[in-house]
Amino acid sequence: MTLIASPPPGAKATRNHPKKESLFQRIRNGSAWITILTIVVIVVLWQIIPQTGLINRVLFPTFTDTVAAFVQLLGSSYWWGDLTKTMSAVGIAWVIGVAFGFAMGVALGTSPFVRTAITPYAIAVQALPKVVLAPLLIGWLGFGSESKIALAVIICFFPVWIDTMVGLSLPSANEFKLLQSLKASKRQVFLKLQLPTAIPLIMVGVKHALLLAFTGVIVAEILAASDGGLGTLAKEFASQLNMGMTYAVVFVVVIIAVTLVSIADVVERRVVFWSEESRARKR
Amino acid sequence: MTRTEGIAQVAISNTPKARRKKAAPYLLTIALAPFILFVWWLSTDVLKAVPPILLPTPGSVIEAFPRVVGAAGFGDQVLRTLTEIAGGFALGGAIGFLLGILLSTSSRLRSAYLPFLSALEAIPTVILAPIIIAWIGFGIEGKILQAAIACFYAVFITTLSGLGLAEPNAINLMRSLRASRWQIMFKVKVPIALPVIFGGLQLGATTAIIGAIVSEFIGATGGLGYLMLRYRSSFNTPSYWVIIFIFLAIGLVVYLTIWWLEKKFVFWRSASINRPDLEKQ
Repeated sequence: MTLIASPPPGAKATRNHPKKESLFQRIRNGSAWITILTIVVIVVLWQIIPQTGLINRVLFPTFTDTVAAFVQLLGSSYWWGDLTKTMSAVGIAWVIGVAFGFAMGVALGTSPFVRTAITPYAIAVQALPKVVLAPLLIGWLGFGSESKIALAVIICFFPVWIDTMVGLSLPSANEFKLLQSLKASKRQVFLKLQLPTAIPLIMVGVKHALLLAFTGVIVAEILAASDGGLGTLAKEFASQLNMGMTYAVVFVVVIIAVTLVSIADVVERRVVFWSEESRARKR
Repeated sequence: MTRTEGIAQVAISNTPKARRKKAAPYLLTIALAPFILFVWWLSTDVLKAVPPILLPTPGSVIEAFPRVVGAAGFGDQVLRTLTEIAGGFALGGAIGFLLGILLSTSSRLRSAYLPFLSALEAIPTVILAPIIIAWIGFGIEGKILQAAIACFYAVFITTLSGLGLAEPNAINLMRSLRASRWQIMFKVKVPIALPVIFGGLQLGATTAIIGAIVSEFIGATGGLGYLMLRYRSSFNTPSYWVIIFIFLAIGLVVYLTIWWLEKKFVFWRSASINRPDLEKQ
């Protein structure tokens, strides 16, 4: 039954990134120059267009104004507090979400019978945009960090759950038969066959969960303003029409997000060195 | 799976006994629904273990349903949210698809711009919501833009990686037959990429819905998200849950529609071949 296909197939396809090239290769084939040229053109336009008055300078501050705001943000007293609040909420929610998702995946994914039975519900959980719960959680848990963490956990446990469930089903029927013919216990089948096969895929879910936890925390921070955090900061600057500072906060978020992904990529490569082989088998 | 194994499996799966065995898990699926309802009823109505501000009793949600759906202007709010989702999905999906095709044609462009565009994977796009509201206000255009930004990346990256899947030999064959670049693209590369692109569309539709809702929560003059905030501020949790179920229905309809379209357009290829199947094994 194809409807039962794992809910986020796209998420998996997303992971076949085209190969990234080294800086040296990019300079040699000329693409680095295109990159630099594009950045220069964007910066120049960003600087000139607001000055000419074609667009509102309040809403689109010039490049230099934005850089000045960025420096001002990094020099301000409140900035570290907001950053720590956001990042600690992300960290806590991520750990809880991963643990919860993995536990659910193991509980529901080890037996093919239960896995098949549970799949329509998994699809429903995936189809429900879980942010609809945000105002409800804020109303229940208040404006503090609890509601942020709760929302982020609800959003981020899902890929870990599904990837664990799918990963545990990856070994082929013959591999199961081999272990059964050797009188392996259920526990041995799980620990020696299913789990090692599943870990590369679970790691992908864990990485995805990190980004989703970040999103969940930011959403909650934008919606509930009193606890502070980067989301709150961006919203407050925007409502004061202090767009330079708003852009600066967005830049900080972008830098953090890209850094998180790069670190997660490196960790993933180190931990699951056997993953290429396992991914090849998946196809 | 070898070819014979596949045929053997087909043969086995057609016997009545095998069919019964295959259907057995779905009996559990059906049995689970009343069980979940029972647990919901037990924990809210009988044990009162869950605060009613978070999860009201099933009875009160059912009671609230005709009130919410029958309220004046409800149809307009639904229509508004659906327009935002559809508009954002169409805009973001079209840009993602075209950009994916553009970057797939030139390796130089790809290595020049892919690092920027990959950053979009990491960024929580909701952080842009305050900026979008400051730029274009609380109207429907901002919601469409937010949903488009949310779903762009999934469609873009699946298109790009899908278009790289065609085997060099197939392309060489087309070249030796003097096919134009256009023909190679639409007769070889796009058909091979379609299953992957549909995966991206599926994911993109989900994120477009999320983008539309979040931006309605942050500031809107109408739509289902706006309605939800109003119900919450009057502590009308049962009505709030009615809209949660409406969103669940919207999500499922979108999922099934794209799944159905995929079956129609990718008819030559069973989806189970390239998708890790939960029921495999």
